[in-house]
Amino acid sequence: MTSLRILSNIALKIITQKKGFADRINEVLNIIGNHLQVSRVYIFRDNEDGMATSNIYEWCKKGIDTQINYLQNIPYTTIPSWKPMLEEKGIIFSEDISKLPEDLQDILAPQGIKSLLVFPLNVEQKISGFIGFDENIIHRKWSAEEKDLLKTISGIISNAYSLEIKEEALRDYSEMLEKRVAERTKELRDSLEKLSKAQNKMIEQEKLASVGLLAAGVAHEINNPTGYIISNIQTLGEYFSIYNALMEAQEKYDGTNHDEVCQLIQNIKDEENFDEIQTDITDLLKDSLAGAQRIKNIVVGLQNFSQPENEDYSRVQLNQVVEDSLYVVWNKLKYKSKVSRDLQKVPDILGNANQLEQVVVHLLLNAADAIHDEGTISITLYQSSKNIVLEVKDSGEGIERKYMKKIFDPFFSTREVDEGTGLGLSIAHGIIQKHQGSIEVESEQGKGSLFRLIFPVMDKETSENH
Amino acid sequence: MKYEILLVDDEPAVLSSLKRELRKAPFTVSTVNNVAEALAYLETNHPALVISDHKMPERDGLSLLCEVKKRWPKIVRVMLSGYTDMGILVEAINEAEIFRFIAKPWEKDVLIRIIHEAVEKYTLQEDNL
Repeated sequence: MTSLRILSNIALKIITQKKGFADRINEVLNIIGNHLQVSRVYIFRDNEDGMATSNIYEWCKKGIDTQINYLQNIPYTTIPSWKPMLEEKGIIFSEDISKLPEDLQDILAPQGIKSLLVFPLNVEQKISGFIGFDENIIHRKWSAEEKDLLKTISGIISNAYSLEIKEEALRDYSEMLEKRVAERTKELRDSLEKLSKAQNKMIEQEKLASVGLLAAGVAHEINNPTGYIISNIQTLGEYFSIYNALMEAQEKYDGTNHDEVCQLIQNIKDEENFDEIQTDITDLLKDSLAGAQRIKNIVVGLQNFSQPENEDYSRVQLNQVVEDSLYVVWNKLKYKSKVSRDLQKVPDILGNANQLEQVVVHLLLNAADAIHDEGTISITLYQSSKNIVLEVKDSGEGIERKYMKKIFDPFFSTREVDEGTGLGLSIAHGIIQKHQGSIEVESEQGKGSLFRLIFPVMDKETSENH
Repeated sequence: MKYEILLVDDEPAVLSSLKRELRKAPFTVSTVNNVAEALAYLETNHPALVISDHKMPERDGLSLLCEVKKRWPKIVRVMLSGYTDMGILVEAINEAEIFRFIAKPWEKDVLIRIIHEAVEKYTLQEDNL
């Protein structure tokens, strides 16, 4: 076969990527070995630090002993002449190894080598190994053509080898990257879990804190009525004893002692200030009953305030909610104020109609209360891009600036103590929040107030599911 | 001579019930609804004892008792409140130097006893002059 033929065979073999690199190289070494009829063909690769070298591929002619297992991790310090020769001349060739430096003879002779030809393996312009051809049988004179052919082949193999090393590095790198990504992903997932847990804890704590605040507020709000109800009942007991005394005095009448009995009765009355007692009992009963109602309202308010288990949400037509609310409070409103409404047709929202009615009723009642002599209340309902807006406006006394932040606090009230529990707006706020909405307030003292409820329009999915 | 007691609370029902309890007591009982009225009253009247609630709109009871101590130190001061915040209590004791604290809901016997003790303290002060 001509050199050209050989070269193209080898080149093809190496380019064809169907087999693994080792297989291709071994086939190539096989082709060269057979073509040149040399004893051995081998490839050495230097270690990473370049201080030693190892035999990685070998082809042996039939009958020639394999050396690959002995030629591992050979330090260049034991063959100091080797590398310089390769680096300077780009080739080590010898027809007779006895002419070579002694250190080289020491390693080559035991292998039965008589002549050899070695070319460097270049990876990225650096010598990182070599490819060699041994002749064990005769002292071979290497022809110029053979040298050229083998030099070219070494070049091809060097290239292929460089590529292989780079691909190997790429594979390792990509493996490492994947590992890192997996690690990071796990770290991120762990962080996310921790964050989620911390968030839940914070929500729980906030809930507990507000429950705590609520409890403190409730305790305080209930202590007052409890105090005077108990006190009044005790007083009523005293009054009852007085009435008893009077009855007993009256029963002493035996038909004859009219004046005595009258005197007795009068004494008791004078001592106990009876006239006052008579009117006081009416007040006492009224106060106590009102106090008990107040406690009842606070409890009901609390029940509304806490998160109910079942939320029955369905499609709600806000127009209808407003109409129903107006119907409920009409009697209270009609004397106090002119009521005007501007209700445009708006899309349904998802929610609880009863609760929303509760909110609107409360706003209307507040509006009516704010008006002292005469005034107007107006209700508007409209859609503004992705939101539905409901406004309740009054021309009443307005809210003082310093109270604006507090109006949604539980139990906050600017009104007389027995007019409401102070929970209305905070409950309303909770309801609106649960409907994914928000409440805004605008107010000017002496001019009036405006409460604005904003609800998001149902998205397509929600709309289809209800 | 009858000593006078001033009661301060924003809830009229509380004042009424207290007045009823003191119906037969040997004291005159006056009532006001807020701090401003209390201070106005004290300009021209001389009760031996002021019993005040703490949580009231506009101005709170603690600030009233502090001012009473400053302006009329001889008047005995008692706080009657459903609001049991530790901070308020500490300040009531240390700054307003209240004689007693009564928690709502109160017990009639305790209230009457404390009122008697307070008035006794007031008379002792007068005697020491």
